[in-house]
Amino acid sequence: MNLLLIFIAAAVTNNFVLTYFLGICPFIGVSNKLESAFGMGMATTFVMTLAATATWLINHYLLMPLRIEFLEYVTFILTIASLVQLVEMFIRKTSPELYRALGIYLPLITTNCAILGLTLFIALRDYEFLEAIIFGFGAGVGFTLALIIMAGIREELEFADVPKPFEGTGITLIIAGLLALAFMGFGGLIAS
Amino acid sequence: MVLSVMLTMIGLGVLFAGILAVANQKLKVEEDPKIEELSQKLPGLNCGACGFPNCREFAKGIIEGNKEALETTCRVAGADVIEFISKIAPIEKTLAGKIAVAFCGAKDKDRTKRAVYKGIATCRSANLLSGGGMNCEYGCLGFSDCAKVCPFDALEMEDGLPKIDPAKCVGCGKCVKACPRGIIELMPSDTDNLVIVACRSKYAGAVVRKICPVGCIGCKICEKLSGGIFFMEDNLSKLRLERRKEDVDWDEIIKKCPTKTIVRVK
Repeated sequence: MNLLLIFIAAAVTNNFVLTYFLGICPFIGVSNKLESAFGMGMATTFVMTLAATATWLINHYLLMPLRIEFLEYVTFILTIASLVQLVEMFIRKTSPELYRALGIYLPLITTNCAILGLTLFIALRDYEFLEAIIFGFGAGVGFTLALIIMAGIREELEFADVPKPFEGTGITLIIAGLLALAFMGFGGLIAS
Repeated sequence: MVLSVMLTMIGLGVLFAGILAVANQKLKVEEDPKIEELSQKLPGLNCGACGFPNCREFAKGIIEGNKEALETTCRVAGADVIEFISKIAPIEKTLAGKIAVAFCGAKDKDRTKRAVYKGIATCRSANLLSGGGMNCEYGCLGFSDCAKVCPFDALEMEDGLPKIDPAKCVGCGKCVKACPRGIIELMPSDTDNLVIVACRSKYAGAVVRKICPVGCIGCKICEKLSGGIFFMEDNLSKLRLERRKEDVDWDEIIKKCPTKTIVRVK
């Protein structure tokens, strides 16, 4: 039950993008097409789950016993960067189309604050191993969810009659704000 | 503690490097080595004039025989690179041969204003905000958006007007996109006498008279003198591109233009 709560909290009520406002760059940048939004969401979910697992292990079996927890920022960034490299190679090999569609945003997962935020949250909240993995996966699902909702709306927007000054980035940011408001409605789902 | 910190960081670094090295071997993408070779030869400016996102994609297009890549070729590359490409792929051995030309001749002092613009100093924002206070809604705004995007330093501002150096301009078209008023256009540079009407105004002659000393007033003198090489459209004289190479007295036409709107590009 606890694991389920963690999952729902990470994915919906405390959605990383729409509640914590982490990872806004890909949220705006890769959300113009449903397909690449989904790919980006999957890549980020993969990196998030792996990063949660790897950093938990590093934190608990390396940093904590040696009492050098102050290194968590540096080691976590190092871990995330390596994981992203790995994912990039993998995607390039398996799906060149997705690789091209994601473009610059794929290596930018490295500096996606949602992932660093995730690993630091895990350290801060003292999650158990399984909880950490579920939390990472849930955060990834939440990220994907936000991206897909955004992409769906933006695809419809192509045919909408948007006032001239709001075209492009303007209307996108307004929609992002409205989505964040909507997600606040989930706040009562879990008493925290 | 310092030692354990150092060992931890070095250890983690080596571990991840090892994993990545193995992955790099296992997940290597087989690619034609010619693509790498060609993209090394290309200018590497990623200007996008060929229609591909970067030089590497263009090189890939050439090697894979992509029709678009073969037809557009690289406008920036010198003759030697074109020669190199023509050896490995069936392309035309000519450069695209276009240069950017600005269709406005009104310098700072020529522009009449109805308001003072003090906003963000870019053409794009000035154009949005009531045309930067300028009376002419077709002319150059003079905030050098075009010069800022030029990757080749071929454009510099002189008296508030873009001055294009035909020797440096390769016709990549970045300035064409940057200009919010569409004043800059790519023109063929295959002729010795490129003479144009440096104005885009569609106002009637009387209106032009009031707001700009060098705007086209539609007097049709050039049309008569050139025997129809220049023609009138929307109160504006234009050059018939297909007749640009004809042997007429271009200097006479330039001299007879009452507002000195017609100018020689090269």
